Amino acid sequence: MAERRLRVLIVEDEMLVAMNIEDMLLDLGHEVAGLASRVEPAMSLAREGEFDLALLDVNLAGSPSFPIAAILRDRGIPFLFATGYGIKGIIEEFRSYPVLQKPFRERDLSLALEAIEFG
Amino acid sequence: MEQWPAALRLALNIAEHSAFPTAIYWGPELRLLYNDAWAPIPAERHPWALGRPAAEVWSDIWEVVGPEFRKVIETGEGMSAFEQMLPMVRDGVPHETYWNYSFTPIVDETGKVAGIFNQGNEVTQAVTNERRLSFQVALSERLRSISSPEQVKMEAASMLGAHLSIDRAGYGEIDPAGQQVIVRRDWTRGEHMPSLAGESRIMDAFGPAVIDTLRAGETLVIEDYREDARVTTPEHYATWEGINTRSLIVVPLLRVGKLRALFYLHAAEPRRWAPWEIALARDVADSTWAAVERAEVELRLRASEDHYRHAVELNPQVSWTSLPDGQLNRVSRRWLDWTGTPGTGESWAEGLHPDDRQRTFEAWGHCIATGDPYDIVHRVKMRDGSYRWARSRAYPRRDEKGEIVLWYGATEDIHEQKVAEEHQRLLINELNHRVKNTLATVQAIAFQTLKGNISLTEARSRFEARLLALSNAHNLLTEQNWEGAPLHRVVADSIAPLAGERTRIDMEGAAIWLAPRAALALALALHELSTNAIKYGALSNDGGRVSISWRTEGDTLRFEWKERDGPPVEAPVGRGFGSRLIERGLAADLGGTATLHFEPDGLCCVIEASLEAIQAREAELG
Repeated sequence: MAERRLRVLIVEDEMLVAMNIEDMLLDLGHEVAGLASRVEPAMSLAREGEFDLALLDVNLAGSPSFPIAAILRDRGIPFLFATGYGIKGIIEEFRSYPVLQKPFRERDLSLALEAIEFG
Repeated sequence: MEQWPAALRLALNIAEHSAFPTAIYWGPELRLLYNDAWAPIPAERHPWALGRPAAEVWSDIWEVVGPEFRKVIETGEGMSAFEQMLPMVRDGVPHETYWNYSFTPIVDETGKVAGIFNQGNEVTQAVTNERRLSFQVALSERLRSISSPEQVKMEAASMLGAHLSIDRAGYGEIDPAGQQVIVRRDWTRGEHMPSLAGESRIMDAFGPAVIDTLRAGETLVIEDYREDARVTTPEHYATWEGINTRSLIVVPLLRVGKLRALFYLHAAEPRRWAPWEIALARDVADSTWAAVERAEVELRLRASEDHYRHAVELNPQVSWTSLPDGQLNRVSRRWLDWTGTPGTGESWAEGLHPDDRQRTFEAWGHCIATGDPYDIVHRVKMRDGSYRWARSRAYPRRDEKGEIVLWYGATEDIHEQKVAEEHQRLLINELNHRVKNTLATVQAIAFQTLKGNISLTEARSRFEARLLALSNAHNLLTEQNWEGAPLHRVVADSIAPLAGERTRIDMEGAAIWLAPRAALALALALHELSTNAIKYGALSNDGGRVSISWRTEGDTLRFEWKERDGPPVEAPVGRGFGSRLIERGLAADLGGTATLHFEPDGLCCVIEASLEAIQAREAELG
């Protein structure tokens, strides 16, 4: 179990994958604070939602999720990317943020969250 | 001598002391007396000529001078002639000679012309030199305006042929093996002399000794081949007869020690060639050959320029050259067509994309400094403001000291190629992304299938079935080039595994196009519904039925899966993967709602989705 119960926002457009991430987070003792599969709803959640951390898919039905990342950066909320593109799919200004290469294991997610938590 | 008339004595006195060639013809027979300066004039006739009658001494030229003597005697008036031609016989051979001379009457006491006082000198050399010179001037004037090598040869041959009153003149080329002489065109004086144009002959057929003279670079002069020691056999005679020639001058033209061409002057009858004629033939051959070579060079140059123009101007590339300091000094017109700028000097930069200038300058600067070949890909700013990708390359040309003389460059439009490469890169990225996302989906299916209390055998069979459903949906989309799929195909493919129960399933609905994401989500949901129906629902007994129907209501798709006459329905206690997938996953993927109603007569799944969402084209599949 995690040291601290994190409230996590999931931004992922593939619902099966989203459900899987949800289950992983629950297994790890965290809480799902919200789920968005499109840019617009994700942006309002990012602006107004109450959560400790966000997991961002890079490509949301053809639109990049970087505007969401920008909001989170401005709010000072930590986040990480999960993408099939790998680091090359991340634009320059967000290259310093952690990236999970899809598909990832529950353990990879756990380590990434810990790194953010204690990094 | 004392009896000689005073006039004669006076004349003799003058002649004796004169340094100029002087002769006196005296008496009715015009007997000849002359001083030392005059002695060479009669050549071998001296001293025999002394005291002899003029008509006897000058029998060879009497036709000219006889009437002149007579006229002076009859009229008592002196005469003079300038550059008068006298066909004088020397060494038994008539020569064309030229003279300036005067005849002055010597009048005796009775007032009668008793003798003729003659002074004169030979001007043959001066006259022939002058003629040779003026012919050459006229010839070169004529040749100057002619640009075709063949025309040059023809003009020279006809001018000299006419000038020397010969029968045929022309140029023959020697084949590379040095064995044959080939004539393209020649000049002939008239019908009696056949042209040799278009003919070729074995050179040795004229007599090997004859040809050896030419190969040695010496002018061949034959006055009559029948009298010439170099032409001996009947075979050789046949060759000479074949060209209807008794006499000729042939000037060989050698290049790098090799016989390349001949200039020939032919006469049908034996002919004694004057030294000035031979000299003139040599002059004309040489100067014409120079003109021919110049014309050939010009012809090649024109062809080369034409080639260059085609190569440079019609080439799809821009060709350019640069001075060793890096300044472009020549840029083909195509650059102007592309960019609207000339490209020379500083203007080259104007045709580049601003973002590429620095990089381009640095690379070029490096090459200028080191002499390394230049090769760079950059964008060109086109006239209309658009940008196209181009590749510029250049190589230096060096002189014998190794110094760079000039850079030769070419700029090639590689836009299509570059765009295709870029597209391919995107496709590969996209493919990678899709594969990774599909693996994530497969991972999710595996994870969800293995969850909970389930036997390994059961898990395996469910996992395989779901994977197959996903794979079938991919097949359908691949068939449609991943642009989407018709709804009825998605439904039909999804229930295909239920083939045995096909008669118990109704399917009805309008033609609707689904985007890939919606098609995949619906296919997976239908797989869960079908599996459930076979195991627990309407298809698990003998009489149950399933009806699948859909329609549009405004901008909404309404889809219904309804089971009837199956075993009694009980709402499950918890939600399994299938339920979650439909109620959460499908709803989200379709941008609508999906609800499972566990109605007493059978399960009913109702899906409502916005048409816009399920038909939306995406740049990529997320």
